[in-house]
Amino acid sequence: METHERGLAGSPMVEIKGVHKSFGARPILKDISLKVGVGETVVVIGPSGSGKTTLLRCVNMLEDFQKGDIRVNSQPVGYEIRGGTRTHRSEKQIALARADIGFVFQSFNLFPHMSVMRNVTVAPVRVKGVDRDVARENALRLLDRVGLREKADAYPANLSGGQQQRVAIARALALEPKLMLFDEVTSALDPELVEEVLAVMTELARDGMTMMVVTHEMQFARQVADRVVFMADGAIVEQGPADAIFGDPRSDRLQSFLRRYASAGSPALTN
Amino acid sequence: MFDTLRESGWLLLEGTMWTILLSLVTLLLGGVMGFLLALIRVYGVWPLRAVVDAYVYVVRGIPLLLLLFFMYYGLPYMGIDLPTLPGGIAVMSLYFTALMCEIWRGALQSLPRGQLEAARALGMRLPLALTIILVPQAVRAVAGPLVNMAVLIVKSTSLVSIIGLSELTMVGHEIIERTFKPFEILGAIAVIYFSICYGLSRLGKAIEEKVQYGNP
Repeated sequence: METHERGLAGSPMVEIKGVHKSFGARPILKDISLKVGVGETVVVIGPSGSGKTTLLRCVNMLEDFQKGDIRVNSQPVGYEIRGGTRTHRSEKQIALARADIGFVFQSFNLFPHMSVMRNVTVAPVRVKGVDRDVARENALRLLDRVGLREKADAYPANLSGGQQQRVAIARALALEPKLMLFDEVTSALDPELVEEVLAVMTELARDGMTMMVVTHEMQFARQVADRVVFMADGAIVEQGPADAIFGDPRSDRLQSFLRRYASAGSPALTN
Repeated sequence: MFDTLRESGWLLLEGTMWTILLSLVTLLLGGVMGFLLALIRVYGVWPLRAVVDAYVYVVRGIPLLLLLFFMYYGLPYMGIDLPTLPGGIAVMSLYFTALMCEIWRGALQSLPRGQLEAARALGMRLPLALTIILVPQAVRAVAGPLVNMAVLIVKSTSLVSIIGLSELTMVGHEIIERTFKPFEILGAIAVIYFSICYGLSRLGKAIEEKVQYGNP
């Protein structure tokens, strides 16, 4: 177990090794391997159906996968090798692992029957056993951070999409995760609301949070990503620093993908 | 006419009490058992799910009156002789369990998939997610349909008169046999049923408005 002791200090936050997933005969993820270092922001881009969302969901076991291994903070999440066979970990173990991973959804998924405050405090209190008052104080601090402190008593139905998504980020942060996963979190938003969400994420990345971000926002990828990963047809086609990916794309797939964004007028590619 | 009603007033009141009692017990037992069966139907393992499915389909496809006959005439042949009240309660509850199971199932399945996923992503396991995330939302969704069901239950209790439980319809029947004033008595009974059901409908409306999401 301790063979990697020497490298532990520099061990990655996320380690994806040879992950394969298929729905029936149709492969969704083909032999994906990827590492995300501590404090790193990795942005995953690619056309619809490329498997990027599925990959993100595999990291915290919202999706199962047939082959490969995913570790977060050196711990297995959904599967472990026991006696040479790959076994599904118990619900309890998976839930424990998930509590250290923040996940933000495209469709926000706030709990509509709970106030903003309760949305943010419910998991710390009920999952981690944090004292209610401590959780409330913490929640107010997080809501402050996403600029919604005055909305603590509002209900999700009374918030705009951008506000809901910022609450969802605060809710995920309330568990003090070591890793944040963002799944196309601005895709369901009206264009004028996208910026306020990206601003929160940018600040989070600057504060040193480890982040995996699936997005179509090329401007954001260019400005915030430490590394950009381009996926197509269930495989990683190309990856590297944002400058290299956007400025000097190697593969045909990436070039044509970026061209389509350029012709759509994305400002990320016109400078 | 009013003399007849005055004389029969207490009897009608007593019958009304039994009707309300039978309705309440049926609503409560059927609602709770229907909820538990719906949990199995939506989240249970398949053999249990199949059993519940079968139960719901069978009971839904048989008239309530026939079930009452089974209990009243059939069971004694098998050596089971239920007194009228427990028997009536049992048949009504089992019947409405099946109907309310469908209501609960619909409510649970209508919740957006993302709700359970969000709960899971926050480290919750299914029992906790059900308790604090899914069921509270399902309760809001069933509030309206459940009140409709309560109206149906109140009216269906009249069928239990057939096995001799002295609820409102049965009492009315007895009074008519004594007084030969069918029109007045049946009219009075209709008004009583209507009043209960109308009250329930209004209550349902109020509840539906109350459980809307958002700030009051």
